Amino acid sequence: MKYFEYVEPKNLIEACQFLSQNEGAKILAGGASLVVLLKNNLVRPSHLVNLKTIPGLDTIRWDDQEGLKIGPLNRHRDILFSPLVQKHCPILAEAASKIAAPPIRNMGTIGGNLCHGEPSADFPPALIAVGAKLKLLSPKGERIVPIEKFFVDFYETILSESEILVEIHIPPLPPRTAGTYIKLDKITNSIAIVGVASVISLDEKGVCTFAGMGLGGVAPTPLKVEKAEKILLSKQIEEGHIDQVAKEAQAISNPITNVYASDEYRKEMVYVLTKRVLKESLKKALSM
Amino acid sequence: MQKQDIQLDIDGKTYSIPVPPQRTLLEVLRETLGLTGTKEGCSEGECGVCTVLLDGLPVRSCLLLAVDVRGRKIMTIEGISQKGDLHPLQKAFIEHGAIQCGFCTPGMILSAKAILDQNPFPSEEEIRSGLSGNLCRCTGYVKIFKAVQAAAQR
Amino acid sequence: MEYQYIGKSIPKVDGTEKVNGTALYINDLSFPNMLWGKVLRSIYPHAEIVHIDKNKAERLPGVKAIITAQDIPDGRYGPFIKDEPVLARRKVRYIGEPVAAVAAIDRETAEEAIQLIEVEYDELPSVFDPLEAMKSDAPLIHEELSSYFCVFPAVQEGNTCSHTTFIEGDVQKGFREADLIIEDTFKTHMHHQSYMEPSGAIAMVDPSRKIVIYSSTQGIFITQSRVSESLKIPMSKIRVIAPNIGGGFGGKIETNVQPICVALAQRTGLPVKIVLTREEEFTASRPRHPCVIWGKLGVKKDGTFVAKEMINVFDTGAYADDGPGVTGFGSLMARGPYRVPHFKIEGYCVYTNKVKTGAFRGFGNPQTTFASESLIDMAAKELRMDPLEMRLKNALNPGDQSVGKQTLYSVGIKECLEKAASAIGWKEKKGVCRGRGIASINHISGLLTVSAFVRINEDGTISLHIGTMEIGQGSDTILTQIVAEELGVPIEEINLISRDTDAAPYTWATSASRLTYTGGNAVRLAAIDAREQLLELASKQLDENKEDLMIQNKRVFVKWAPEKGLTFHQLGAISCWVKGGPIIGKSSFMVETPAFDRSGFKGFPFGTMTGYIFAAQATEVEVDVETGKVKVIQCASAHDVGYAIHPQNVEGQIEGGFVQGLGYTLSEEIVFDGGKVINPSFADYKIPIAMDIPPLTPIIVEAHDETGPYGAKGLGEPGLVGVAPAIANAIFDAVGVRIKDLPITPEKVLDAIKGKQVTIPWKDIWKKND
Repeated sequence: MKYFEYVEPKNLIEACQFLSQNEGAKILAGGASLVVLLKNNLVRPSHLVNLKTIPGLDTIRWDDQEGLKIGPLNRHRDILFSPLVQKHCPILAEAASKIAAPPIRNMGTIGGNLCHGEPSADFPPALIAVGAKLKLLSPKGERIVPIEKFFVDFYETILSESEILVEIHIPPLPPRTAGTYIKLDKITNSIAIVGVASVISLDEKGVCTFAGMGLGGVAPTPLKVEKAEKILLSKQIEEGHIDQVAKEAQAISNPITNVYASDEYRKEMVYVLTKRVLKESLKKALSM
Repeated sequence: MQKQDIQLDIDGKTYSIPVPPQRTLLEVLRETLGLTGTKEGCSEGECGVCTVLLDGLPVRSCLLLAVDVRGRKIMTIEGISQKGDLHPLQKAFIEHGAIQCGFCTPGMILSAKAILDQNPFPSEEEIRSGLSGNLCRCTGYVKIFKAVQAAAQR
Repeated sequence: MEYQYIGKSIPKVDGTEKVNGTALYINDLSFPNMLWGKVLRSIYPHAEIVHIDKNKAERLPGVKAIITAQDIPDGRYGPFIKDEPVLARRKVRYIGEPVAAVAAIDRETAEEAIQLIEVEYDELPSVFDPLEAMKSDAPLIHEELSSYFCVFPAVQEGNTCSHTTFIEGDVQKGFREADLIIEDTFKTHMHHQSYMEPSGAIAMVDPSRKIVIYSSTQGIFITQSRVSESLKIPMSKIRVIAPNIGGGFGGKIETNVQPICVALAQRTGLPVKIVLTREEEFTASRPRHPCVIWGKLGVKKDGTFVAKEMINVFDTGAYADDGPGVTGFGSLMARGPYRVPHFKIEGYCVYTNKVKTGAFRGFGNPQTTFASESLIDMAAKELRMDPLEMRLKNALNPGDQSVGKQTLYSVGIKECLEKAASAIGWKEKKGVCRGRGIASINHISGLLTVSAFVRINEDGTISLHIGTMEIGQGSDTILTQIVAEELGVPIEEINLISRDTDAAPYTWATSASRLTYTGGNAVRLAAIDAREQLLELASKQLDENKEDLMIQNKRVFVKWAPEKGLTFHQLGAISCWVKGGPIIGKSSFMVETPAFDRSGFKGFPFGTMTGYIFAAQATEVEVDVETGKVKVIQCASAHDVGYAIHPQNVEGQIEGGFVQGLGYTLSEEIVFDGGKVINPSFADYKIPIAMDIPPLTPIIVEAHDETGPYGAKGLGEPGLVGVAPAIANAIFDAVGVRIKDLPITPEKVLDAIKGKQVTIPWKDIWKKND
């Protein structure tokens, strides 16, 4: 590891200011992704700013009006075991349960996971499916960004040099809501070859009132299937609708070939997995 | 090089050592403190032989900066036995043939301890999931599951 | 037969230090003033080295020495063909080949120094496919092949460094007699041992100018020998000591960094340590040989095997390493545990510009068995015969012969087949997209030499000196059990001294599944020798006939007058102080018989082999036909081990081998882009984890082998050998697709389900005479 200065800011303002004054500074959250890069000298920051010393960034709060507000320094295991997440956004807990292995879940944070910008990360499809919004803080102030707009390219997010992700906000979803996250992996819980998440809400008559769908591992960034809602909203969802959404998911995918799988296979699996998650979510919602 | 004196709580003992921020907890344990029970296998957080317990939870010590864990309770394999007696897990590993080359054993035992501390009667599924971050190339895991179940019964 | 120590699953002798973290491995060792070494490796697969500039690196503070081939003797090493230099001389032959090495005060300085060494290369055309490499116009990787010293009469041509042939009967006649002929092409892939402990060594020059090497190695005597021949140091001046070894599986038999450490230690006068990174393990150690196999099986309509022909092309990478042995042995095993009256089996060992490949659990057998056992199921399908029945019909019986016409007496293959099949409910109804498959295999466990001394110490405790290596397989424990049994001494009173060439008598490596059979025989004979000497001494001291004496509880006494006796302590002391020296039982057990009838052999690099072991592996799988993902629902692995000296240990080997086989079959593969490994880390090379292990039934079969200690034979390797065909056969049973190309990925299964061709017909790739 190359030399860097280690900094422990007392609060977020101090952290933001430090980042804006030191171009080469990087944030340390859980370290699960960053320390690997540091060890290989793929990243050589001038300063490492440890956010964990700032209190209050690892809370999870629920408000009936506002919904779920998750601090970025919640570890994957905090998300997995949080009664609030399990009750109000179980698909997020499901995604957390499929990340790597317990030691990584005990270290890695949801904020770190999102800011790393990995195209096949497990949280983004689930967060996209529930319509999450991210609050970003910089010396210039705050801005709210829908999650699907947060990712720009492979390992690149919309964050500016001095900006910090400070909150993940999931608006409340209607009562009859169910979601599923499925990923294809080489061995259990290894990096997603293809990851698909869907969330469906139904009214008392079984008509769809909300549909969100996120994809991972099939493009330079996680993707939102924009047309899913259009196809499914206000309908009693049937096989034909599901097929349409799956084809749409396939159409917007632009996967690569790597050691895990070919682009062709991924493209085909988007179709297969989309159908599976939709069927599963629908089944769960109908039984509620 | 910027070194700061940090206090590390390891196996119930407090160590005060000057450490530059670039040092990982694994390096400090093995090279500064001579606690070589925790191993280095891949240096990228994949194999689990560097597993230690941080506040009771298994973590990758090869991916933790030492400065980042000061003040937290760290347990290594050297700290698991009680007053010189082997921990029930250690006894069970020996009894059930769960050790072959032994390189994954310290990390595996610590992860197993964390499972049993959370849930004294884990299902096989919970054991498998709890150990999914520790690679073993020799045993095929079968006798490790048996050893953990046997230790749970003690 | 009931024994006191044998046949019991006693706690392993090295268990305590492994569970409490005190067991020391190579990277736990440190010496005063020790330097860190690092290797600079080639970035081209095939290139001439034009110039190496060390200047910048030498000026880096903390750098103590930098060496290239010019700084060390021009010695070459290799187990079969001495073709490999310590550091590349004149040209490089694979990406990752050592070109220079640095010793510095710490790891970071050494890493920085190698970045500063400037190497100018002149790239040469390279070849990565072994069949391409066999063509007459392929780039020549070893121009001086004919000048290399070979330990056996190697048949060589171009990039083929060894060609082995086994012929029995008249294979063309056999095919004419066949009612059905099955012929196909198969491919297997590069597979890494992935032991948890990276390889490493520390070398130093001791005050008497002797080279002392600490090394994580399966062969201390091999290390001694390779360092000697490559650096031209007399073996009498080299001592090799192994600390605990964190797994090997064959990958740590031959040397990697040891000669480099020695050269740096000689240069600096200080201890030098090199431990490979995980990336170096994946790119520059010695993984399993990929293989392309053409196989043809002739069968009568009642299922009797009548003829077999095979060509196995093993990709040995840039250097031969264990290649000729793997090629020869894999081809020897390719007839399978069956009677086949006519066969012609050939193996080619071919250089390519990729990392050299070497020994890994199975040693060529997994590759050829994948083809052989797939062909059997393909034949069974055509004849509408149960694949299990077809195997049972042709399986060897006691009294049948091996390839090379050795008569086999201990043959438990049928029992293995029946038990493995039964354990997975072979005849029960199957679920949708589910299928069952089985494979049976043969292997050996008697090879070369093990020597042992058993010394009765002055106080009656025992020292067992043996050069075998405990690598996790439990050899230390079972060899101690044997001494305990023969002398009636508790395990705790036996001091096993191994892992030091200065203190242990010679053994060939810890490999070839041979420590139970070959090592066990040596130890047993040495212990018996010690016991006889003990009785002899007691007989003289007590003035009684030897036949009237017995041993119990560490005492030698008169059978009908037990009060008349002497303890081991007394006898040990008498021997040392009165007679003048301790009782030392000795044995050098060399496998010389039964000899092969070599009339049908050509280019086979081994002497004789024995201790035939057999196994059958059965799996039930479920195939997801939309994703191609294969899940193993349950499996069983039955092994004929002759006799289980330590049943729990035997199960551990069966289970561990099977799970490695699962990885080999379904998820592991070293992937290349040209000559570059593109997945050199555990992040991208996936070995099985705890969550993915199916219910696995290990089954011990005991077809007592009279020539083995207590009837025991070996076990280390077979656990893996038949897993791939067992799974491929189960997939075929489930969804009717035949995967002939390992690993079996979901993509390949899906492609096959859709009818896409997966392997290229042999006639299109076997064009070596073009």
